[in-house]
Formats: sequence, C-alpha cells, structure tokens
Amino acid sequence: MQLERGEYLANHVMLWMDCHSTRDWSLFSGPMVEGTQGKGGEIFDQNLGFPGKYIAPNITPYGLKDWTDGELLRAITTGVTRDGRALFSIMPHHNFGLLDETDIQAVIAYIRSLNSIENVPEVSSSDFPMNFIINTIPKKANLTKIPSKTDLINYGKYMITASGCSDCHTKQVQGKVVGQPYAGGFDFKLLDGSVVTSSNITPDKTTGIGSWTSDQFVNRFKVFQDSSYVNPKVPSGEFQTIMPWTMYAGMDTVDIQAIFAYLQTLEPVSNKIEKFTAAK
Amino acid sequence: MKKVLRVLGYAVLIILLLVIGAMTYIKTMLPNVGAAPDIKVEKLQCN
Repeated sequence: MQLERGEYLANHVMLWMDCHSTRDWSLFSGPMVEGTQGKGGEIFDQNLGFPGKYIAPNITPYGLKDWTDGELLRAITTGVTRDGRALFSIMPHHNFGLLDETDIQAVIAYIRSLNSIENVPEVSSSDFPMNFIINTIPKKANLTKIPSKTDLINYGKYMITASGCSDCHTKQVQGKVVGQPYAGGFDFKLLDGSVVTSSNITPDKTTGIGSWTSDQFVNRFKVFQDSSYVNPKVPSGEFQTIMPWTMYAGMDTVDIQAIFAYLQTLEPVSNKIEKFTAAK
Repeated sequence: MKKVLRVLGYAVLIILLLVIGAMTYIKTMLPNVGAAPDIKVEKLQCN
C-alpha cells in the first residue's frame, strides 16, 4: 500500500514528478517526457521571475544514494538539505511540513523505487539578497494526521496543502507573496516570452469559481484523463499553460471534490485575471 | 557641529556592526531546524 500511495502522491497530488522530470514544452501543459522520471535538471531562474537559479535535483536513487531516509524527511518537510543548505521554497516544504508523516514516508519509499538515472544537475544558487533571506525560510515541521474523508472540508484542506495549489494560485513577485491566497495573478513567463497568469480559484462568483459546481470542477481535471486525450502541439505565441493538467487529472475524484469543497469555504476575492498574454 | 558629526558617525558604525552581525548570524547559524530524524522507511510493496 505504501508504494502505491507514494506513487499516487508523487505523480498526481504533490507532483514531484512534475518538477523533477523533463517536461515537453512543445506540447500543451508541458507533459513529462517518458523515461525522465525524477532525473532533475529543470531550471527555474531569473527569466521566469525567480530570485536566483534553482535547478531541480536528481531524486532517483542515483541522486539520493548518500541520503538517509531521515535526511530526506527533513529536507522535504523543513527545506534543509543533508549538508545544511536551505532549499528555495519553490520546493514547497512549507506545505509538506504540514502533512502526515506516513504520506511523506510513502513518497520517500516511492522515489527510492524509481529507475536510477545518472544525471548530476547544477547546484541551485540565489541572487542577493535572497542568498541571505533563504536561510531564514526553513522552519521545523508541524506534521499532522490526515483527516478522515468524511470530514470533507478538512480533508480538502489537507489535500490542497499537499497539492500546493496556493503556490501558483497566489500572486508572488521575486519569491515573495504579494497577493490574496488562491486569488491568482501569479505571472509565469514562458520560453517564447508569452506570459500565463494563474487563475482566481476563490469562490468569487464573477472572477473566481464561485458559480462552478463540484462536477464542473472535477470535469475540468478529468477531461485530461480520457484515454483518447493527446496533448496537442502548441505553436509559439498560442495559449500554453504551466498547469500540469494531465498529472493532476489522475487525482481521485473524491480528492478533487474535497479540494473544491474547501475552496468554496474561502473568502471570495474579486480579482479578474487575464490568463494569457502572447509574446509580442 | 563637530559633536553632531561624531554622534552620527557612532550611529552609522553601530548600524553597520548590527547589519554585519545579523548577516553573519544568518549565513553561519541558519537554517536551524535540528538534526535529521533517525528513521528507516519500510518499502512495502503493494499486492
């Protein structure tokens, strides 16, 4: 059960395989390139608006051969590497530190089972002043127990914390949160210079998802799970998104419903989003 | 005038020392989240 749970979380909820694998940005939503699971090397740098150059490390057994399980648990839940370096919070340790330890252990078990890929990505570095600020970010984990699925709202809160929705759906500038939680507005510059902006998922009826039904929300994901779905080619300048739809589409319907139920309990925030601006 | 300059000089020096002290502390003492726990994750295969 543990490996199965870890595989589910890593591929469809916490999306470790999204950041730590190679994504094909010529296709819609940048699906993962087969055979690159966990190899690392994806770059999140100044061109994308980050205060430094952050490179996803190799989390296959090749990259983690010197790490103990305890060091992995600490890195995932507090943001500190085995050699004491702080991890930039694009790796959402602030969220993972609020989860159930059994879930974290399940994902550790899963990544230990991945095919080993020989790849040594460059080490991440921060620009000034983030090279100082980053050391103040890690904090001790506050691990919890996963709520029962019958406690829909709290279960949804747990799952949305694990999914890290707020990390993209809350506006940030240079790594600093400047927007209302889940109200969208976070700009992501794409490789061709176009900008995709995260949408408002607060229950505001006109600019958010306040008028959506739970089924509509679930179907928004599940359409990408249809066996006939193939990620189409996206020509430069046409609508593209960093939202990893095909990975989230594998999330259990009950989990998506719980996330929707939790989102509906939030304070509505009016924030109209221009989702995509094509490169000029 | 001389006294004002001297006070200002001391103030700048103190601020400078505080900033250097804070930066040194952040670089050398942080992050501090304690030791990694001593755990062994069991690799339980699903059936």
